[in-house]
Amino acid sequence: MSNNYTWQEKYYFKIRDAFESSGYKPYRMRKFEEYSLYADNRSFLTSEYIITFTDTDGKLLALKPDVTLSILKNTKANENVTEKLYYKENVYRLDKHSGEYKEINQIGLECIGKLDTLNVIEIIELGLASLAATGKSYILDISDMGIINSLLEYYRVDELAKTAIFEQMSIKSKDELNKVAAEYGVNAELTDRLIRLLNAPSDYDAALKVLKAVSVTESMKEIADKFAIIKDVFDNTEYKGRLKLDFSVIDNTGYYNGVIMQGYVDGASKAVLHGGQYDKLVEKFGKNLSAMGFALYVDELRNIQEVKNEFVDVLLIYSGKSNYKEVLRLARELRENGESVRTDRSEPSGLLYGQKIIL
Amino acid sequence: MLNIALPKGRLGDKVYEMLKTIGYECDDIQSDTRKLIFVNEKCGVKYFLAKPSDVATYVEYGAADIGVVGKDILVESESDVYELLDLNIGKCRMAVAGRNDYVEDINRPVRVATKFPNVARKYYRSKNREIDIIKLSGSIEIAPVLNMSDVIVDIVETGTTLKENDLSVFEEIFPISARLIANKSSYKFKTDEIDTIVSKLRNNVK
Repeated sequence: MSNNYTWQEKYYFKIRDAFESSGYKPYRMRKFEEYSLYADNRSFLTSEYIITFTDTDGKLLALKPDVTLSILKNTKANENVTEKLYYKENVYRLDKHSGEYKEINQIGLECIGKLDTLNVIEIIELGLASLAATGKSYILDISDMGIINSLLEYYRVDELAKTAIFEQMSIKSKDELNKVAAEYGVNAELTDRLIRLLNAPSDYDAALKVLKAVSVTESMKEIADKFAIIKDVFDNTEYKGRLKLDFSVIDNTGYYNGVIMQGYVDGASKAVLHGGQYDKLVEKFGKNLSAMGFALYVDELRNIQEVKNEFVDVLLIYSGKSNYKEVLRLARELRENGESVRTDRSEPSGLLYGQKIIL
Repeated sequence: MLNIALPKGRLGDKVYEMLKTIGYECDDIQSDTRKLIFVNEKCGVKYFLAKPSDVATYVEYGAADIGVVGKDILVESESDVYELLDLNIGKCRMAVAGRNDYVEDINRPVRVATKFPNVARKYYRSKNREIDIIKLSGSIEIAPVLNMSDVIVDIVETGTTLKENDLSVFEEIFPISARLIANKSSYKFKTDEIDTIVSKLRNNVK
């Protein structure tokens, strides 16, 4: 592989190989999509601000803020066909800090069909592989939206209290959770179970024990069983210790329903991987199927990458008096021998080279 | 090494005293110096002082692993951080205040002067009330006195400034106190260090 590939390119090649070797096919799309797709699914998007423009035929288009919706709109998956796709696309979103639109480089995959635990485990494994490919220390946190949902249903918590509880769980605020419980008159036993989930140790096995201990419904017990299977799968692999259960991992409750995940890389200040199972969104597209995927926010990794100077094997310096034909012949000959060659009149600043030839 | 961002001023001093009590001392921080960063290798901590409104940003961007910030700033900035502990100090409230003789005209939007436009917007949206926001950076109380705004959305501690300017609190939006926050990624890789500090502090919270 050439030394001059950027880290983003090298990183993409690595995870593309991992995705393709697991049977995922590339998905490409245009930079823009019909605005109505986003207007109909506004609450799925991380921001309601979308760049729109009118096409020559009067149709309102948008620079895509998301890829998942386009994949779902066009999917050929059905009860008998599971579609496995990966993509590398730029999405356009409003940055809340600068208040300006940003082009965000996103790599991700989606699996749509009648999914089972094996599909889920494969996606988790690809998530782990994607984080490992950064070459840095990493953690993949997983949870299941069904845990908190099931607890809140069991204790018949109303919608307003649910929203407040989800909010405080997601920021690990035990103090605010207690205040919310008092304000909404939440059952003390439920509050205790939620606090125990928040207090769960970061060790996978210990956290699983906590989940089993607080489980009150069949569906919570099934989730705990599923997490036990996942533990067994990864126990004797390089990923042991990298996969954690964190019950504060919560995402858009209107769309996500099953396993949910967030990945972190040491040195990057924000989660670089977001994903999960979003059957409720698939249902909105009129399909009785499951879907799960994740997206990698590659830009979050750029600040932890070492920036290296450009390198060529041979720097060929020529002057106005040089025989151009001879310069080009020599450069071609060197390239045919596998060397990278830069021709220049003077030495460019910052360029690293193996050999300098002055003609 | 744990990087800790403290807010400059009285709140930061109080928090440092709490941290010192539980064994994270770094006395340089109290000396009269132009140094920006204070390290105690033995305790494994690196402190720096920041403008209170910037602490959440330093933590969100990972320059600090943990920090202390008022709930007012957290709600306004919507920072994506963990909120691990209510320190129960720096207590005050976010409130709507206006002139004592203010009568609301329900036929037009309320003119709201504030340093906290997100808080104001969210609060009035929850009441389905249209507002015009006038963003100010300080001395908010002047706005209704000079009839530039109908009300203010601001922090109220004792209420003395309001009283002296013939203003009063109409509605309380939420109580405020100092919170210990953590960068989400740092928390993953320094869980034990951060949990230890939180647990020791929790025992000292009154």
